[in-house]
Amino acid sequence: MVVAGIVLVVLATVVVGTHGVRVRSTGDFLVASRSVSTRVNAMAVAGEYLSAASFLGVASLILRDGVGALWYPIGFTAGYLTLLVCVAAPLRRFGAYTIPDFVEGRLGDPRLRPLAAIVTLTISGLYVVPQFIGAARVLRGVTSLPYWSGIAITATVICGIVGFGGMRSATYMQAFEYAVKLFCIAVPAAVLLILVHPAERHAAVSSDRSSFASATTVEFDRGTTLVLTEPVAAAVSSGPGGPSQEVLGVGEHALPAGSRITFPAGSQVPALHGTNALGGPAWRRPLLDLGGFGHPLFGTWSVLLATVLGTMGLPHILTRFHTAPTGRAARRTAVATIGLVGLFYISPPVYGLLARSVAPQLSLTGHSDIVVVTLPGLALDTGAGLLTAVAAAGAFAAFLSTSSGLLLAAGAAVSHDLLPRARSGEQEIRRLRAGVALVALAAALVALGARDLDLGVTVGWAFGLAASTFTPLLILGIWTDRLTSAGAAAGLFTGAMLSSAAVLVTVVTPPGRGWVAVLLAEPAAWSIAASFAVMLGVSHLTARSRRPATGALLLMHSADD
Amino acid sequence: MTRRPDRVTVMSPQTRLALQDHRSSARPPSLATRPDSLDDSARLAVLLRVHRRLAARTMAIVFAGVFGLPILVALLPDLTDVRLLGVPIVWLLLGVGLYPLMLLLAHRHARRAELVDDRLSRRPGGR
Repeated sequence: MVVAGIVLVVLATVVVGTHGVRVRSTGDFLVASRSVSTRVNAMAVAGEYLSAASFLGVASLILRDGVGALWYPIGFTAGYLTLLVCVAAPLRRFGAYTIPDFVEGRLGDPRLRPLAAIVTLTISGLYVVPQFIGAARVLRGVTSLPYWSGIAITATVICGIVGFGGMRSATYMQAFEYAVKLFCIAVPAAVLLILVHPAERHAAVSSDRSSFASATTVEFDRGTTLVLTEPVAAAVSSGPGGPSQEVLGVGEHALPAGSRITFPAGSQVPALHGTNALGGPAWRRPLLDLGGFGHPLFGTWSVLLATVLGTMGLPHILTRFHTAPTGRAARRTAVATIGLVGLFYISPPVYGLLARSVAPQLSLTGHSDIVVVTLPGLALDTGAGLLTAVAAAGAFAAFLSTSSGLLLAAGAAVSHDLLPRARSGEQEIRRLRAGVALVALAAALVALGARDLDLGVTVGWAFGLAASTFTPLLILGIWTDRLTSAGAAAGLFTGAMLSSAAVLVTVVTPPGRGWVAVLLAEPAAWSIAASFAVMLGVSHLTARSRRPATGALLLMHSADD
Repeated sequence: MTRRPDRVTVMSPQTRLALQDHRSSARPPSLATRPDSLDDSARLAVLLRVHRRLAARTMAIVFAGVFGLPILVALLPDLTDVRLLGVPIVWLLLGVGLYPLMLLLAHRHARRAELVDDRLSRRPGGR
């Protein structure tokens, strides 16, 4: 049933993506000849934006870290407010298709192209690899197919459709995928809410530590440290021998990989070392204390800044707004997108909260990342197979639509921005197709190698990087005439280095506490500010080389319809 | 700078397409590279001032929410005990209630920006 659901979505995607599409020019391939209606375009933007991080990630973060994870979808949505206010209409009127095009057109310096193209590639790569890994984990989690099959399916389908029809295919495909995703997240959520026992509904929002509703056996396939605040008598088996009845006392218990513990009904769900106890005060407080650094207010602000300012710097999203016919239509597209994205985000928290009462063991094993797909099977006796198939199909819709936009953006960065100009339109389209295939292959290889990647860290990195590079560049380039190409280059470089270095240091060093640790784990707040400051400072020092910008700014801020 | 003409053709298919659909006389493609004139500078100063003020007003509301709401939640930790239909009211606000408010703010901003467009965009050769 699950495989049938996924096959259905993939087939429908292929039909929608290829039906009646003929690519005649680069304009067709890259921006669907700018003739997409506001409604279809907004659905396509939302369809592209709602990725694995939204479909699977939000619910899993709520289960693992607590209600504070609600700030993620809020930031993801508010990002479109910033995009609407700061870039939608002016960037569309300027008419540059890619950010490297914008940089060169606005600052008149072709030397900036490669730098901007590399940042585009990095952001797209950091964003597309988690989509592939998500596809692999979902397939392996609910079927018996091997890990690589999910990656192979996603990469092949995307390459086929996008390579065939470019943005024209991607537009209708993504608009269709939005409808699929909304259905596949909202309907199982509603059915679950109606069908689960009222006591389970109540426990999902209660103010008590969560407990196991029935005797539950948890398998730990990695070494884990549990923290208990009340003693529990449980059947423990670690190692080759059979289970032995033990009383686990209050305090920390280190478990080797392969341990199995059967917790009795009604016992408190223990906490994983370094995370918030499920249903405890820190879990229930709507602030983000990721990794338990102890500065939840700052952590919340930093995540919000990265998402609110990072969305407008995501290259695949900006490209979508170029398919609108006018600046005014681009603005209206952004408004409609906020409505569509917000509508979607109402459902994911339902899964995270219900999992707290129905399947609290998921918070202990590190398998929480596909809770949206596995929850129906754990919560219901009848109809679970159908709901699981629906959720898995929706997850695949998310992988396909987001990856297609990202691969198009990354492929364009390679073929359109890094290589010298094509001699003919046909050569350009051929190169774009090759670029998409090349990037898909590279991303698939990385996804195959990086099985245990923390998807949240990677997507967070992409947002932080976008917010610290393209966002200051676009804001200063669109709203002031001060920016010089030296300033833009210095700011791009500083922002990219600071936000990436902070993530790398956090990943390779042991977890710490205190301000240094939280500033490194959540670099957005200071790396965005540093990038703005360097861009303005260096532009000020090189003010003599400033190019007249009145014409460009007039073009961007005058009505075009 | 010898490659400059080449680069213009890279972005021009889209620009040209967009211009073809509308009054192409109102916005010559060369506008982006045309040297500054006094008239243009004066017009830009007005456009930027009005659009910037509008943008600043909306962004002020966005950032007041981004920085203010977490402070509110941090200062009132017992907020999770106030419930509506059994669900903590703060969870409902964050999970459901903020989205319509954001849509409303976006809609209002877009409408005002369109009014500014209509009022200020009387270009030579335009409306």
